[in-house]
Amino acid sequence: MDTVISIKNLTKSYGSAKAIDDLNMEIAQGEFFGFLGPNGAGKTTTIRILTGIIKADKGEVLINGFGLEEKEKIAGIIGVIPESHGFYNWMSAWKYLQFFADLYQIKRDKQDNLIKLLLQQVDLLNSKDSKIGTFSRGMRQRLGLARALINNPKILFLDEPTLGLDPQGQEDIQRLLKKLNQDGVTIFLSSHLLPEVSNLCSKIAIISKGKLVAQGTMDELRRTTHAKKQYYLKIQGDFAPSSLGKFPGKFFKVSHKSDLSELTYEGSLEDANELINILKTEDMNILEFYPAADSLTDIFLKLTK
Amino acid sequence: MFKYIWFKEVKESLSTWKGMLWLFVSSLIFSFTSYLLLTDKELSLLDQTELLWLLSKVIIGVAILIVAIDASSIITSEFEKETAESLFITPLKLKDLLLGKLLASLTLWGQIYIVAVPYMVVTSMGSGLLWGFAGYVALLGSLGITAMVMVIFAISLLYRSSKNTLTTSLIILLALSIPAFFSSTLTNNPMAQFFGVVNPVDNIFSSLDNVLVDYHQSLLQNWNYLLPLLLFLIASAVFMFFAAKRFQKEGVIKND
Repeated sequence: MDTVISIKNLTKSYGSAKAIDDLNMEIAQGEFFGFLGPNGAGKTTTIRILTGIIKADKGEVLINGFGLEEKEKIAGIIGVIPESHGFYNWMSAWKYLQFFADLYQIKRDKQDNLIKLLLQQVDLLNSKDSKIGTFSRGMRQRLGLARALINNPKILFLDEPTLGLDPQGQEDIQRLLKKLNQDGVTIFLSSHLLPEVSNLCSKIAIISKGKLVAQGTMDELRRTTHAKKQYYLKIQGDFAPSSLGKFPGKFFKVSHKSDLSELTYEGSLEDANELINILKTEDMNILEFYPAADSLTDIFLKLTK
Repeated sequence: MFKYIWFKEVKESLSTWKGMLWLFVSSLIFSFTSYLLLTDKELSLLDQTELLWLLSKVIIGVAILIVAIDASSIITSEFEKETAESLFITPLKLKDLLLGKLLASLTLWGQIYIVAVPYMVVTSMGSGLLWGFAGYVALLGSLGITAMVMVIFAISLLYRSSKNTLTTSLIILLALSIPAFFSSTLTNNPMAQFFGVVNPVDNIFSSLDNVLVDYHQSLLQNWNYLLPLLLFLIASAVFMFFAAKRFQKEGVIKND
């Protein structure tokens, strides 16, 4: 797959504080790329550099082969939902999109159909003549997405697009983003909502203190992060780990339900094999034993601690 | 591209209370001044040319003040309302934004001027000075306001805060108006005379005096007043250019 975003040795400082420290990433065409990091990790700064809002101190960025100095060419192929985006509250949704269509120099005769289609996509067609000042947060966010799509972008940069939305609002936006990605739009998503990222993104990068700490698919990230793994066990009877004497690894969640004991065990694969042998010699009836997949939250916390 | 910014600003001022309020305030001040000039016993003893000169000073003074207040927030509001980032991710260039906003400020000046026209017509009746009066108010007002707006835009790009921009702009306007408060003795002081020569506001008022009171209506006869105004305009454009360069270096979002 072709690389549409290439970042090499990107560095940005604010005074003595390094916001981004030698960042290197490549994002392929059509990818749904998740960009994660704790507060102040440099996510928004990275997006602002990639979209030409601020300048980097050092490094090379290519967006679809264009250097950041080719602002107009890049502006034509990207759509952005910035972290903080205000609206002209006195405008109607329709006029707002018309204003941005003008800035993208979309011909007037094509604007009507395009705006109608976008408002339909974000479910705002019924409110097209209402003033933006009367819109709820969710409606504004959807209007922001419609604005980001007005130039039919090849790449979409989204900085916390579902922040502050209710679950229904989040789901609406996520469904739209999935559809856009299926239609071939490369999406660069920065979000604090880890389930959202793990649900949507095909590849994820995690940054901490401006440095890239991991990058890959969910499986690749899982492999990167654990030497020790978690396993779930279900044993018949009232089992207490202390009754085993000496064993490798550790149990850290134990619950008893009627005649069943449910446990979470953490250890290496060798530890887990040894534990099974010990349990068998103790005549324990093991009903279930399976490795637990690390969630993105576990991976994120391990990498950014 | 600048025309979309220009139209947006004009539509905003027409669709919100702000634009209408400015026009109402200016018409109120012009009405009050004209009424006093035409009816007050002492003021009516003045020669008609003196009355016109006073009214022309009020028209330009009020217009500069109103346009300056409006211009102080026309750029900074894009930062304060967080709309700047959305604007600059489009192919819009900074020069288009500045030109569009400058034209919007001049449109406000144009609207105030149109409001002033009936007062100019009524007060100049019978003097044969209407064209000179209206023409020079338009010319000198446009030069002075364009220059002042460019200074304000430069300050806006540096501060990115309406409050700071407005305060600084008002201080500059006040400083430029100081010669108007000089006593006649002080105006003979060489330092005060030098300040008068380089001061654009003073040159506007002196030129109006030259046109309306001394009947020197050709551009050549006003060259000594127009030249400092043009130099002020060029200096303002240079200041705005350097502020724009600095803005581009810092980026749309400034992190201190």
